[in-house]
Amino acid sequence: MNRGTSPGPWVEISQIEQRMKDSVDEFLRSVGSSAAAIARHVDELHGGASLMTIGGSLAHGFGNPTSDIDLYLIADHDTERRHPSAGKIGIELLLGPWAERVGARLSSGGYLEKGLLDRGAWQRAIRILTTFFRIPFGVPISGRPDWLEWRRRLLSPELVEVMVRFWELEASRRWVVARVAGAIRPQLAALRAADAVMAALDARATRAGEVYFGTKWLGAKLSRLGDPHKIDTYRRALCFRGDYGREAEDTLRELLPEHCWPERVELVLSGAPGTASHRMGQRALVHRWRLRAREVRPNLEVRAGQEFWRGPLGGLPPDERGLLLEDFAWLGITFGGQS
Amino acid sequence: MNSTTSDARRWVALHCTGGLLCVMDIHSILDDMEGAIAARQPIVHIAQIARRALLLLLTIRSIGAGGEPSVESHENIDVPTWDPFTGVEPATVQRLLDLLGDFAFARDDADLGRLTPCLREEIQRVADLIGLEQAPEAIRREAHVAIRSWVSMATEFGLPDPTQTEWDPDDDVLE
Repeated sequence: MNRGTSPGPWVEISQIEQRMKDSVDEFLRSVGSSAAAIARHVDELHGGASLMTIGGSLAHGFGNPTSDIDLYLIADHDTERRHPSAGKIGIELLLGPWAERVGARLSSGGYLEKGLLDRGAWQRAIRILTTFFRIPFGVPISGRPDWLEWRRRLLSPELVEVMVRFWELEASRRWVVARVAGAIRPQLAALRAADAVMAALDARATRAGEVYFGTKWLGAKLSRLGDPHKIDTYRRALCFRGDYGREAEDTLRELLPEHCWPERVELVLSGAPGTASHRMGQRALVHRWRLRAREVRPNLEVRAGQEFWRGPLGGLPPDERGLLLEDFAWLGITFGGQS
Repeated sequence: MNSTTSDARRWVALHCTGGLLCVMDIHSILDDMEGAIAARQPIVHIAQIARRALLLLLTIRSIGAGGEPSVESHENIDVPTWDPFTGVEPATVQRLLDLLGDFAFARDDADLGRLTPCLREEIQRVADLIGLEQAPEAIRREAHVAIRSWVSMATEFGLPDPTQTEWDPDDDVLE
């Protein structure tokens, strides 16, 4: 499989780690607190964490005086999963056995390399990126030696690559929808083309060392990276004016490796939440929440969460195309026909 | 509304899902924006925050006009087929997209100071459309009875629970 991009981040992991530490230190100084004081406070509240990190926007230099302090705890005992505690400290608890299993899978390599088939796989990926990744890509403030060592080994270029793959996948999915919407729904096509460009820029920013997984920080990341061309590309994607879809085609070809281009991926359509089919003689109706419906050929059965078609974009039949465009289908993609 | 509707489920979708999006998501985004402006974060970052708010305003309007009411976690980034323009009056779409363009190319604090009240005005228009009877901040702060009634009404009408996140956090099967 031709990835078309150089593997691994363009900055050293040690630089990323140092910047996270500096960001947290600076923020805590500015609010008159310290990592040790927070760790003591949380230990008193919850006790017995195997590992505690400060993650989120603070760890990556995007905090401001209104920001919460996001703590991520690994513990072996079950308790409330998310509990806002004193003041502006938010706590996310991850169970030790789960964290170990996820860490082992990620360390074995190749996660997300083949694509994302369905909504369940997407949700598991997003949960890992928005919680588990806050452990390695966060600043440890207390922990047992074995867990600190576990975290240190986990923080690797492979993890950065997982984030890059996620953004490339998202760019690819959005680009496919922009193509399908085309002239039929030009505003949706322009919006999704813009979203695809933004995901592709996120992939590039991640490789350049901006490793905080957060959809809303792309502008801040690009500003910090200081590339005027990419900031200009981003501004145009933000507002997707005029015939943006056409402009985006060139931009996406420049930003994304070839295996992510719509004509190279395999589409996997499954029923969106709330969908079901009903057959009436030679007609069939697919509905969503019994609120919206579309008539399709009688042998096409759609059920929430069930795959009902896969193939290349060029082979998308009219009924399936309509279901995708009208938001009755969840779009998965695989690369190179693999699953 | 003091008139008959021919589509009660659509009315419920607009008021329940739209209400929750307006009270929880859009006002959380406004908090983000105020924090970012106060901290003098990059203007493109503030423009991105405005974009999220404006697309959600379009989404709420579209839910009342034929659009899909499943608006899930992470602002629907998993659903590239979600179309926030469905059924929305072209003049309204244009007004909101013009405002988005102004945010994207804002140059300084003066521009932001001029644009932010316009965004607030658009939020108020949608709050009026839904018929919020209290300030969104109050409903949000108190986990208000309104939120419970929205959830119960959506469920009664067979619509998605607007507060639900579906995933199973302990599901650790990674492909």
